[in-house]
Amino acid sequence: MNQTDGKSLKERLREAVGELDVPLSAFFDLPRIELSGDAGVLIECHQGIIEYSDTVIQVAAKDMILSFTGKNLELRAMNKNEMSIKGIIQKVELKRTGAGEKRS
Amino acid sequence: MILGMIHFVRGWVRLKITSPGMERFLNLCAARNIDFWDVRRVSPDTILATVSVRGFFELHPFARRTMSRIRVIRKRGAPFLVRRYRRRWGLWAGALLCAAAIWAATGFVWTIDVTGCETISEAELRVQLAECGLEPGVALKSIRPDRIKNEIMSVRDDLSFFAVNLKGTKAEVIVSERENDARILLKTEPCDIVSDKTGVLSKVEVYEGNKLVKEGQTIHAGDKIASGIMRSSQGDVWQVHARAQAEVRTWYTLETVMDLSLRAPRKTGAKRTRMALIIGERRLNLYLVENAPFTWYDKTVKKKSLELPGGFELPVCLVCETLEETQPEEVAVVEEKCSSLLEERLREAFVRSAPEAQIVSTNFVFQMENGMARGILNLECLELTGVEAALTP
Repeated sequence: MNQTDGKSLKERLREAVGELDVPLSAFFDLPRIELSGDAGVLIECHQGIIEYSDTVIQVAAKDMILSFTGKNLELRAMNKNEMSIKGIIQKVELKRTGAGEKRS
Repeated sequence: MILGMIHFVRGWVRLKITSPGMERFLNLCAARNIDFWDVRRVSPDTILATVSVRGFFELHPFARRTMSRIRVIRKRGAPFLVRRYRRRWGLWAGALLCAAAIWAATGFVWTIDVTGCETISEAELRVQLAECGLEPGVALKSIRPDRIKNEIMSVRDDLSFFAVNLKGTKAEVIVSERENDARILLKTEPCDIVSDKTGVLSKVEVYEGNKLVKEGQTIHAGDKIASGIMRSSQGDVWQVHARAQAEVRTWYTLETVMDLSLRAPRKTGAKRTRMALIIGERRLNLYLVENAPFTWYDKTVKKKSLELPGGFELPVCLVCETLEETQPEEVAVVEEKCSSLLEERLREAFVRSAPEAQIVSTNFVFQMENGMARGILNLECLELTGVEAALTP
C-alpha cells in the first residue's frame, strides 16, 4: 500500500525534502561524510565499525555501509556520533544494505 | 593546543587493548559515549588507544563482555598530578595564594597608555590624570572615566577630545589636541596676510590678493603684506582668500652673563646606598639610612621596573638611591673655555626660540669685568613670514 510508481513512501519523502533544498541529514539519520583531500575523512551519524585494519575501514550507517580503502588508515578519534579517520584514502565505497544497490 | 589543554585537565590514559572482537569493543565504547583517540592498530587483535580518565573506568564491563585485555601504558594529566601531590599542603596553599593574588591584582590599574600627545607634554598630562585619581595602582572600581574626562577638559583648553577606556588592567587614554585657530581658517574664507616678524623684506610673493609691500621695505609684526580686498579699475570691490609668502631679514642680539667665582662640587668618596620597593603608590623603605646623611651630596636614583614578556610593565619597581658626599670647591675659569661655553649657550637658546630661522651671519663679543663674564651674540637671519588673519578694511 505504501508503494506508488515503484517508490516507497520513504523515498518519496526524501525526494520531497530534496526539492526544498534542505540538507537531507537534517531530517533523516543519513551519514555526513567530509573528505579532506585523500588525507582524512570525518563521518557524522555513523552506527559503528564493521571492519578495521590499516588498509580497509568499514563503517555502518543508516541503510548503507561506508567502505574506505587505502594505506596506513587509522582511527583518529571516535565517539557515539562522529568518527575521524586519517591515512591515504584511495577509494570510498557506499553499499546500500536495504535494496542491495551499490554506488561508488 | 586548546584540545590538548582540555585533555590535560581531564586527564588521559594510553591503553594497549587486545581483543578477539576489536570492532565490537570499539562500537560498545562509542555507544556508551566513551571517547577515544589516537587509535593505532599494531596487530590484528591489538590496538593502542587513548581514553579520558572517566572513560577508562567505564571500559571494564565492555572489556569483560568482549573478552578483551586492557593494559595501561601511560597516564598523564591534572587528575594524576593532583593525586601525586595531594599531601603537599604547602604547595596547595601556595597555588591558592598565587591564584588569590592574581585575582586581587586584576582589580587594579597596572599600566596607563596615553596616545595622541603631539605638542602637549605627556608627563604633564599624567600628573593631571593622577590628580584626577587615575594612576598605576588605583582600584578599577574607583575610576569614573566620565568624571576624569570632565575634570581634564575643564582644566585644559588645548584638547579637543579626551577619552579614558578601561581594558582589563590597562587604562587607555586617548587625546586629540585642539588645532590652532589660524589653521582652522577655511581656504575659501576671505582673509589678509600679515607679518608675524619685524625686519626688512627681502622677498615678497603674492599669489592671491592685493600686494601692499615691496622688497627692501621695513615691516613690523602685525603689518599687512597682502590684503584680501581687491578693487578693479572700474571701482568694483570683491574679497578673496589672500595667499602670499614673504622673507624678511632679521637681526637679534642675545646676551648672557656668568659669575667667574664658580664653586663646583668635588666627591669625597664617602657614599651611602639605600633601596626601596615601590608597589603601586606605596613605598616600602628597605634601609635605616637617615634622610640627609651628608651636608652636601649628589643623589643618583636608579629604578628597575618588573616587566613581563611583551613590554607589559608591572606596578612594582625597585629603587636604588646612591648618596655621594661632595665638598664645594673654587674652580678657576679659563677665558677661552668660558667664551665658547657662553657662545654655545646663546646659540642653543636662539635655536630653541626660532628653530626655523636661517642664520646668515653671527658676531660674538666676549667681555670679562668685575668678576663676571659677559657674552653678546649678534645674529642676522632670514625668516619666512606671513600668516592668515581676519579681513580688515
